[in-house]
Order: sequence, then C-alpha cells, then structure tokens
Amino acid sequence: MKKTPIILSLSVAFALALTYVYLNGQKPAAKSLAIVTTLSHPALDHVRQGIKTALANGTLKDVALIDFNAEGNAQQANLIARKISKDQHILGIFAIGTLAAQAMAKVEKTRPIVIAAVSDPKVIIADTKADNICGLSDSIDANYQIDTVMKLLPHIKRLALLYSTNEANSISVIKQLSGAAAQRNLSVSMVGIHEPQQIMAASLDACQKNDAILIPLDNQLVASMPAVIKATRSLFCAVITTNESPIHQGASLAFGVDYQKSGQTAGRIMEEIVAGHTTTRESGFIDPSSVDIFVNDAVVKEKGLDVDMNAAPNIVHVQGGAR
Amino acid sequence: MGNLSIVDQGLIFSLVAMAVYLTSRVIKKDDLTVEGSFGLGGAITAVMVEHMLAPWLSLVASLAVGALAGVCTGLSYTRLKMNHLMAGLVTTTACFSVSLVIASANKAVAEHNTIFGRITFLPINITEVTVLAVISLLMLLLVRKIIASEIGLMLRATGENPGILLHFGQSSSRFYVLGFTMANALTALAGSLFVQWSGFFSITGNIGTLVTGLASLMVAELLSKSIGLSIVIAAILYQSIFAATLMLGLDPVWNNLVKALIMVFLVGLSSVATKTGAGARHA
Repeated sequence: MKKTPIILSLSVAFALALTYVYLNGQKPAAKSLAIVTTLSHPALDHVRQGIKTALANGTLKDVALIDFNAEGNAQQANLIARKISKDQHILGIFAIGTLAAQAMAKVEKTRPIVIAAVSDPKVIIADTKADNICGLSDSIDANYQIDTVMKLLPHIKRLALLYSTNEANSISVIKQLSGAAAQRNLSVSMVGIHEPQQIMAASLDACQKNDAILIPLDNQLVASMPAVIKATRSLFCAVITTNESPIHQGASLAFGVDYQKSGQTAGRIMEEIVAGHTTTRESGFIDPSSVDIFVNDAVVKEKGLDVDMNAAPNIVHVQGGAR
Repeated sequence: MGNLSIVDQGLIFSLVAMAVYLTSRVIKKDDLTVEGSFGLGGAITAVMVEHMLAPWLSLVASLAVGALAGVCTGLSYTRLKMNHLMAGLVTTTACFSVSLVIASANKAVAEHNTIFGRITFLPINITEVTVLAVISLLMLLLVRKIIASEIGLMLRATGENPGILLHFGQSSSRFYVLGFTMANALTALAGSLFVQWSGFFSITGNIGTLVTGLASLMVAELLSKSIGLSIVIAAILYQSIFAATLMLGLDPVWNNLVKALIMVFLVGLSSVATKTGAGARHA
C-alpha cells in the first residue's frame, strides 16, 4: 500500500498549518481584552452585551475585544484559556459562566479575570491562592426567594423545585431553597431532570402535584422554558423562574437579575482595574445589587392565579406569552 | 516554548480513541459508556486529589472504576441480553449519578498536587507533555501487545465471528466483557488525566468525549489501518482542528461549521491521496 506515507505526510503538513494558524492566525491589536463565554444562552449573551456596551462608552473604548465561546465543551474551554494565557497583548479577561471561569482560573494567575453569571464563585477560587479573580455572582438569596414566593402566593401549600441534576449551581441553590422552605413549613418536592427530553413530562407532573414550581438559575431549564410553559399552560399552577427572560415567554412570576447590568458592572470593574484605580482583591465578589419581581399579568389571569400584587414594592408588570 | 495544549489534549484523548478502537473495531460493538466512564474517572480523581491522596493512585483508581463501568456494560449485554447500545446508555446514565455523588457537579483542583507536579526540574508545560506522552505511549504499547497476544486473537475473533470461539472451547461473552472493560478503563484514565491537567472537574466536562474519540479514530484510519502511532497523531490532529477554528477570527457561532468543513477537507485529502497512490501503482 502506497497510501499511508502520502496521507501521513499530507496530514502532518495539515496539522502544522493548523497549528501555525492557531498560534499566529489572529494577530491581536496592541491592547486587547478577551471575553470567554461558557455557551450561547440568553442570560450569558446579555452579560456579554452589557460588557461590550460598558466598554464602548468608557475609557477602554479603543481596546480591541476578542470574543471566544466554549460552546459548553470543556476541551474547547481549556484550549481557549491556554491560548489567552500565552497572548501578552491581552490586558484582562472576562469569563462568563462557571466553565469559562474555571478554565481561565487554572491557567491565568496574574492578569485580571472578571467573572460574571457565576452563582457560586467559591467553586472557581476554592483552594486556589489566586487573587487575580473578581466579579459578579448572580445568585439570589434563598430565604428572600421563598419569602417572596409566599408573599406573592399567600395560599401556597406545596412548592416543586425543578432543576437539572448536572448543574452545580442548581444543586447548591436547590439545597438552600429546600432548607429555607422547610424553615417556613412550606412543603417542597425536588424534581431533578437529567436530560432535556424529560423536561415536559417532569414539569407536567410537578405542576399537577403542586401549587407552584420554582426554577432556579439553571442553564438547561432556562434554555428549555418554552417546553416547561407549554407543558404547564392549562394547569392551575404558577411557574416561577429566577431569571427574567422566561417571564416574556409565558412564565407566571420571575425574579429578575439584570444580566445586561451585570455585564456593564463587570465592564466598569475591568476599567477600574486596568486604570489602576482598584485591584481584583479590592473588588472581590459582588452579589446582585437589586432584584426586580416580574408578574406576567396575562398569564396570571389566564391561569386564574391568586397573586398578591401588593406583596412587594418592586413588582414589574409584563404581558405576553399567554395564549 | 510554544503552546502545547493541543498536543496535551491530543495525548489525553488518544486514550479515548484507543478505547473506541477496542470496542468499535476489535469486538465490533459500539459503546456509549465512554462519556460516563470518562466522567467517572474524572470524578474519582478530583476527590482523591482534593483529599491529598497520591495523584498516581488516582490513575489506578480511575482505571478500576472505568473497568467496573465496562464490566457493567459487558454483563448487561451478555447476561441480560440488552442491546449493546442500550447497555452503554444505561451504564452512562448510572455513571452520571455516581459521578455527581462522588464529586458533585464542579470541583476545583488546580492548586492541589497532581501527577504533573512531581518533576520539579522541568517547566510545567514540558512536564505535562512528557508525562502525557509517556502514559499515552505506554497504553498504546499495552493495547498493541494485548491485541497481538492470544487474548487479542480471541477478542478479534469475538468481533469477526463469535461462533468460532466455540471451536476453541471459549465463550464470546467473556471476551465481550473483557473488551468493554479494557476500553472503559482506558477512557476513565483519560478522564483522570483530563481533570489533573485542566485543574477542574465539571460534571458536563465529558460532553463531546465520544465524538472526539470516534473522530480521532476515523482520522487515524485515514493514516493507517493498524493501530499504532497514527492514533496518537490523529488525536492531536483533531485537537488542532478544534484549536484552529477558534483562531480564524470568525464569530464563535460558526466554529462547529468550520470544524465540520475541515473534517470534510481531511477526508477529501485522503480520497485524493488514495487515487494518487492507486495511479502510481498502475503507472
């Protein structure tokens, strides 16, 4: 067989060419910032947009932005992180979402990493001595969430917590929510979902057996909200999310962390760090500064839910998503 | 020193490609356990490294848990008469829960002692590539040795014509189980190396493992029909495709399309080279 040497040499040449492109293909500007996103997802995309908006209107508007997306793949996240760590033109890195933050934290020990949309920053910096990481958490206090649900739905007796078993953030939040509910004598059932195909059946079952279902910050479920809403549409059961975007798709109630605003704050933190006005250590990790409560009036009316509209001062009324 | 992460990841995933070779090409039963055992190896490693146990021990432990996953798939197929794809799926699903229980969904191990921290007189990137190359080549030699042995003959016979084993007084079931066991031990070892190299365990970190292993094997088969260094070169080549798409400066949403086009280009190269080779023979 004469095939092997020819293919072998062509392949090696091809590999060398690809490696050359990898190492030299994207010549960065003299000064640049990198944005690494874990995967495309409405909340994470809003953060990225917020960062870009803040930078475009701030002191770093002339600094080039290099955009990377790990597409939820750890192999890709590692390659991106190691590429960035070798690029001395990059002044700082934004890491959006847990996977991106984990991969960057491992390889970059000096330049500032501003993380955003990470529910539990301890997962990133646990056991590390790194003091070049700061940023914004997007977790909402569990006691606040349960209190607010009980105020908004005064007749609630049973609450289902719907979550993905493969998301660390969801699991830790679910445990906190469950504890908070138990302290308030609210009956809770936890419904874990392994795969997207289970979402409709699990939502339907949870909604039939409970007065409301609460969905924490969970990438898989937030991305699959249309399926949850479709499965539970005709049932007398409130669908509550801890993310704003599903309220416009037909969720009944939502807690809203403004991800655009988080991104803008992350952008401003980076500006301050690059200008030398602050350090990552001083910036630390920030919880969401304000949480809006969204009520979808059309869906509440359609489902006949008994919602106390005077339960909180920061209720935002939206329409849409109803049949 | 240039960026060696492509080579590092290629060396790690060459083990997965070897595993896919064992199941898909030797015993000829595609195995979906790969993603589960990769995660399982990573999970056990993350916990052991976190608890300061000897990092080399975690490699042994990952081999053991991976082998156990393979035994489960093998027995489900041979004893419970489950379809081999279904058996793999069931085991992978179970591995997911087990990994979650062992290590939770995320664990940072970057600052703990790993197998890459032992050779203090070498820079870390050289240590990483050296250790990974040694492990990958050792495993390749071991797989080649087994394939060439009497057991390997039985394994290949199991894939080609299981009935023939009866003439040797052997049962094909044993060799199916052995094939799945070896493959998943290798995959879990890759999972262990991946966690120690990347510095974190993520329950979703196994996404794409099977595709990477299978694609690397297919590229290897373009290079050579027999298992050898081609499988390691192919795994590195596949990672370089991964990496190069990131650097073309395109909007990230196009990355997967570019990857697919590069794969098509590679297969096209093979086709052209085959014709050229055939033409040369006829001339």
